[in-house]
Amino acid sequence: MRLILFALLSALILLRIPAVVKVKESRASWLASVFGLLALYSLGIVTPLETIDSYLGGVNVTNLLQAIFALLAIFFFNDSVRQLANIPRVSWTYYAPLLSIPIMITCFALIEDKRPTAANFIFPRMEQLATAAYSGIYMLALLFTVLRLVYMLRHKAKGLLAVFAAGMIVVAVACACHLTYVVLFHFTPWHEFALAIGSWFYRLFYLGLSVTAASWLILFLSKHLPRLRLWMTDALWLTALRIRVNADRSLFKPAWDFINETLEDGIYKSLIRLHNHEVTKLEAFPEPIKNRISRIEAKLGARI
Amino acid sequence: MVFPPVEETVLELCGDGTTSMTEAVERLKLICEKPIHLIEQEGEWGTLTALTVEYEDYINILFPPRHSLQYKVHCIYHELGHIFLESQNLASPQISQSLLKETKNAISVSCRHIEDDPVERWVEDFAFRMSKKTRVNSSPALDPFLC
Repeated sequence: MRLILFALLSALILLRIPAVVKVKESRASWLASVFGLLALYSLGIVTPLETIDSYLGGVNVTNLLQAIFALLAIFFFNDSVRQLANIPRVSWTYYAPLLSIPIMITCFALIEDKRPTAANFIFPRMEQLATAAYSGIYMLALLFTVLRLVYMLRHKAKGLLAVFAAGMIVVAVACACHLTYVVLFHFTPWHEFALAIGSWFYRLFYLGLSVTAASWLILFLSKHLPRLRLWMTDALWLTALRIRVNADRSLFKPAWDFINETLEDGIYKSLIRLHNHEVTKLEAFPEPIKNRISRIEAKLGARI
Repeated sequence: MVFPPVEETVLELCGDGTTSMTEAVERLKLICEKPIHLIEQEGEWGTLTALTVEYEDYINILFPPRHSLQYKVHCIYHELGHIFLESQNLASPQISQSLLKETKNAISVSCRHIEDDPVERWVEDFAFRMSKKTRVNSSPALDPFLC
């Protein structure tokens, strides 16, 4: 499950780099996927946990990093949903989840006997108040952010966005399970019951995140694949033609327009540049090139 | 000289959504308080792609018929950009009235422009954004969640 999630997130991050360069509004959700990937990496699914942790002193700092990266991932996802729902960033509660990070770091530092490196670092140390505070505050911040995210999506949650929101609700249930475990284990004698509830955290957390990531990826591809099919060949052909006929002063300009503009805008710029080239050189392109340019222009269309 | 942001100008002429060239020209007519005529003109154009000729009570934009529709539209928007800047007193015509009088009996006029002229850059950006607003197949609306 974790490896599937890692592959999904890696694909997303790579596919979205051009959009992140062009559109600043896309950066929040991109940062979310980067932090999500870092969180997964710090779980030790690519490099063994012991290896990563040994570089960091072998005192389970990876556990703290997992918590911080996961929180940042959800926080930035929350921000992109905020933009989607057109909600201004006015409430003081907006940055509240980030305040939990220094508190978590302090609590983590106060945990005694942090060696050796272990995936279940917090469970044997739950008797300590610092561990309970560290784990509890992390879950509380996560739960708060996820619930706010679902709340912001309430009017838009239709179709795949509803699946996305459902995945987030499963994550919220997982966080609630873990929070219940922390409270029951540390403050009551019902340890067995607490462990039984706590065991649901990992199952639900990764299930929820996988559903969320998969629905987001399907939404993303269904939006972008038809455009890529319609324009990509034309964009590449026009860029190559601009380079071949030396339509620009710089060889980098055609490639820059291709990367820096949306596909349609890049194509339009290339067409204008090629026409300018024809006019200044006072010679027309050969008939097959002219025909292809005409076909592309017809696809773009113009409202007169 | 400080030019207005191109995006704001385009918004002023086209509104929020998409529009057509006719509508954009109509709005510019109101701003510059003169009728604007778009005239396809046969003849020897050389490297000229469009020409604005302003009279006391109207403006003509002349353009050659030989180019493709997209390119003609782009060149017209470029000229509309010049008209907008002149209507706001932000740029003077490329050939001033006094110089125009000097050319009264001339058989040819050529002029030199400084390369990378800020006015030219502004009107070219204006033409690009205007065409985007009036293109049938433009970039999809921004979606911060998915873009």
